Amino acid sequence: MYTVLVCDDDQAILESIRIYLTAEGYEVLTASDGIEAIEQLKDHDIHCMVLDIMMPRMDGLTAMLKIREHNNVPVILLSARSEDTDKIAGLSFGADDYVTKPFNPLELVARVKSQIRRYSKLGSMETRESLLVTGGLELDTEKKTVTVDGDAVRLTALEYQILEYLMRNMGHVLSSAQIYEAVWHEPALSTEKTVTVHIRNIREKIEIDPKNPNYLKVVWGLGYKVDKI
Amino acid sequence: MATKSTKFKYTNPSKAICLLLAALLFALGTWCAVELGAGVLVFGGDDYFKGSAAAGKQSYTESRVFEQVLQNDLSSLNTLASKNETAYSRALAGKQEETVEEIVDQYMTRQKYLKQQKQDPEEEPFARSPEVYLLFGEDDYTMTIDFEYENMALSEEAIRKELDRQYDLWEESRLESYRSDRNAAQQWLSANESLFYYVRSADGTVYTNQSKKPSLAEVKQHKVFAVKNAKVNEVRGIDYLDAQYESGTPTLFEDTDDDVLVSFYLDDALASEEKLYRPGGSSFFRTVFEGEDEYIATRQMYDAMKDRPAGWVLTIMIVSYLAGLALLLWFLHLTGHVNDDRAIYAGDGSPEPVTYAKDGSRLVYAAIDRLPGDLHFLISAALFGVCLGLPIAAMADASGNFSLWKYFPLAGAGATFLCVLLLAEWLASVCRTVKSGRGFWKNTLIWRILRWFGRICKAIGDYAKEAWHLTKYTPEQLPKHAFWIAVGYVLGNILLVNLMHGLDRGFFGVLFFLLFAGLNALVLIRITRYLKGLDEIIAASEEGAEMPADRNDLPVSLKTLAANMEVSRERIDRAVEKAVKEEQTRTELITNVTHDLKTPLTSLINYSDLLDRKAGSKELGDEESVKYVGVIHDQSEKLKRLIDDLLEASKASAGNVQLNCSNLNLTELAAQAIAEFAPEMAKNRNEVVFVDGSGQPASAAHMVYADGTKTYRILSNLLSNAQKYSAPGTRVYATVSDGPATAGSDGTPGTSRTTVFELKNTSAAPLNISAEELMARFVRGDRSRGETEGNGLGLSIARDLTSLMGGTLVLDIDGDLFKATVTLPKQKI
Repeated sequence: MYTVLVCDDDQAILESIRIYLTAEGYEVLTASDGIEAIEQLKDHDIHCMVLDIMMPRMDGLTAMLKIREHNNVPVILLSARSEDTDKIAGLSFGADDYVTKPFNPLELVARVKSQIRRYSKLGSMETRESLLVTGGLELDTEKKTVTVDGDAVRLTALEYQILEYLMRNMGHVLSSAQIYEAVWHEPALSTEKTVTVHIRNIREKIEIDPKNPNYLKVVWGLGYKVDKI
Repeated sequence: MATKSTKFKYTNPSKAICLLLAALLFALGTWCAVELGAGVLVFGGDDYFKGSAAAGKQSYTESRVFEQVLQNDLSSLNTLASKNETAYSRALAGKQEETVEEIVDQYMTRQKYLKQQKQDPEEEPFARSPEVYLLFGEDDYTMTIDFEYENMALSEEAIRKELDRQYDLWEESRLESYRSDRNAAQQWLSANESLFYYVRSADGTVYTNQSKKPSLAEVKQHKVFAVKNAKVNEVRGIDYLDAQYESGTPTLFEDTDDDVLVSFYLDDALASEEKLYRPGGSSFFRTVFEGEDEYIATRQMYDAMKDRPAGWVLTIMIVSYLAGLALLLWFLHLTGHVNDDRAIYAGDGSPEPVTYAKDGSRLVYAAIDRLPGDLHFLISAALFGVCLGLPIAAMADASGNFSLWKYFPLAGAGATFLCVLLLAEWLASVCRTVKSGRGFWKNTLIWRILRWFGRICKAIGDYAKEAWHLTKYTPEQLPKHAFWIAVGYVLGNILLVNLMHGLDRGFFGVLFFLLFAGLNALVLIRITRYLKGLDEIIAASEEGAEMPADRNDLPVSLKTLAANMEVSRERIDRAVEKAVKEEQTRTELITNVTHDLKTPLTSLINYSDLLDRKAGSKELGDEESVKYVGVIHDQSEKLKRLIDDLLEASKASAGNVQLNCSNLNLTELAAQAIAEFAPEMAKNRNEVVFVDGSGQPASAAHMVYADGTKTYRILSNLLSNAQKYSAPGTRVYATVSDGPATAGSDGTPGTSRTTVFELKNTSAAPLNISAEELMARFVRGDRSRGETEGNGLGLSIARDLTSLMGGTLVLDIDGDLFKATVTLPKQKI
């Protein structure tokens, strides 16, 4: 049984998140500002925090900085501010994820799940050469299996080959022509569309939010890449 | 309170008495002085001042004045006796020959010289001095032959003739002058009737005032003064200084062979009244116009003076002068003061500021004091000169005529009286001017003229200074002044050039050249400085920078220009700043509002989702409620997108977007975007056909320099638009191609600088709207704002982002065909 601390000054949002997370089987604690959150954290064993940024008394960023002084519990920031700069600031201050309001409740739940899984398995991870890992995404080149946060994902043969090619070249941007030539073993002639369709399908299977991908990222105008997380 | 005497002190009678008394005393002093002068004349200075006793011891014939008269007569007699024209001419004749020879000789020498030199005498200094100065005996006499070009060839004979002619003329004039001297002497002697004279001159002529030759008996009745050693000088006549006289035995010509001896007779009984004082000798007019017997006149003077105490006269003179001076000073002290109970107004009737002396009297000045001091002085001095000069001149003229001496004391006193009055009047005016505090200097014409001159000089100087600086002129004044400055400049140059030319090489030539060069250099410097100032202003205006700081150096016209431009620049800066600020405020407002909207929207989405789930698991009662929950959920999702779009649109239109531009392959990007939309397109049975410019399936790279995320946003907005409004089952054509080639400036075939992405779709609803309206925010292709999803913000955002990246977005509507064209630059702009 994992415990999630949700912190938001809006009681309605707090309550709805509590409902969703409880339904997933988590024990949920709530706090309405940064100070309360820090106190809850002292009294309980918390596995993940959902922290709103704009709150009275103490805001989310300040609270997070205080918590990070002696605790590396996963923190998902929640904010109405959707600018890139806000996201970058939040993440560089020590947050593990950033969700903008209004959010899809299921997405939030998925992200919480992902964070808890990584947090709880940290340090006990098996490392095999055949295993390609980034974040919660694992691809076993021997077993030809793909799992996301421990859940198996069903991919077609071509999709698997594309993902494997991308994960083997983790961090590199690969154009659709390169991918086509590597997977189909044929010269690429107006095949971008084929590749892009497959990529899209892969994203729908492995990403929490396919339009805002976490693993398989689109580099607009250049190609695709999988980053090491 | 003033005492009675003090009151009297400043009254007019007091002053008048004072002045008159002073003048009278001065007059008395002068009277005494003239008397003393006469005494000295009669008796001789030493004798006279030794005392009246000493003077009294002298007999008339021993007196100085008698000696004087006698000397005059003796010289006249000698003149008469010595005239011998024939002898004089003879004496001269011998000299003539020598001098003539000398002149002829010199003349001929020069003639010869010039002939040798073949020169014009005009240009030859030696030849141009033709005058020869020669002496005839001891008389200066010039004989002149003008040695000129015309007479250069004169013969020796002609020269001699000319010299003879000149000599004759001179001799004639010389003889004439002797004759007139003799006549004058005769006339002089004839006035002194008490003198008996009988003179036989050297040439035998007899001059006498006796009807016949006196007999020896007659002569013996007289005291005789014989003249000894009186000789006729061959050339010069009688040496007057040698003429002596002494008492002695009377002689007659009969007694001697010497025909040049002069004797004369004087009545010994001059003291005898009957004989000496003849009738007809005392009338003033006769004295003046015909002359009076000098012996009688001097005898009268002698008689009047001989008992006079010279010491006393001297004392009276000194005392009178001193007392007169004292009184004059006292008068000057009094003048200008009046008693305070008198209301005094200045000549023009206007009350003057009242000033008081220490003793309570009031200081005033008279109307005459308004006359400038120096002018007053000149008038007074002129009158003074008349009053003093006329008597002095008259006395000097008559000083040799002893018969007039008796009038001198009165004349001297009168003149002194008038002069003192005049002097006192002027001095009083000066005193009043000074006392009343106006100062003498400031009331003079010279002062006024100097001041006026000074003012003119200052005005000219000021004007020149202003002209030099050009600083004081506003733009309106400048043309007028510039004209006069130009005129002055040209005239100055003309003057200096002329002076330079006229005085070449001399000190002044160099001086004026320096002035000329200096003037022009300075003018050039001024002009350069003016232009430099203008340049600075122009430079500053081009950069929109601040105007030159040292604007004080600039002329007023440029300063005005600079100041005006500075004002405009500041105004523009303020306007821009204000606009930017307003835009920022607006964007911020929208950002904040959308943030505030997002929080309740989050709850709305979350709870509607919860309800939806319940509906799905049939926990939520009836069908109606299920449907309603669905609507709420859909609409809240839509609201979320709207808010996001609104935020983005506001940022894009304000340019408040961070761009991370790089070289992108637009073909790849379009393919990625189309892939993203393929599933949604398929729902409506639409298909995207992606081709290049030649209609073949797109594969070649078309590079653009742009921000990938933003470019995707543009394309996705267009694709989303096409997806929403395309007629079901139609194809959507996407084309990527090079933009139109622009020819190079040198005429070479140009290369395309842009890449164009086109998206064409067939609208489901009729497009009864213009492209412009379509682009406007919140306007959708479907005017009825039907059920279809989406909003007009998409196109607006796409356009704003395109233009931010240096590209364009153009919409075309052709029937139901909707075409969007995005043009992006290939390279960094």
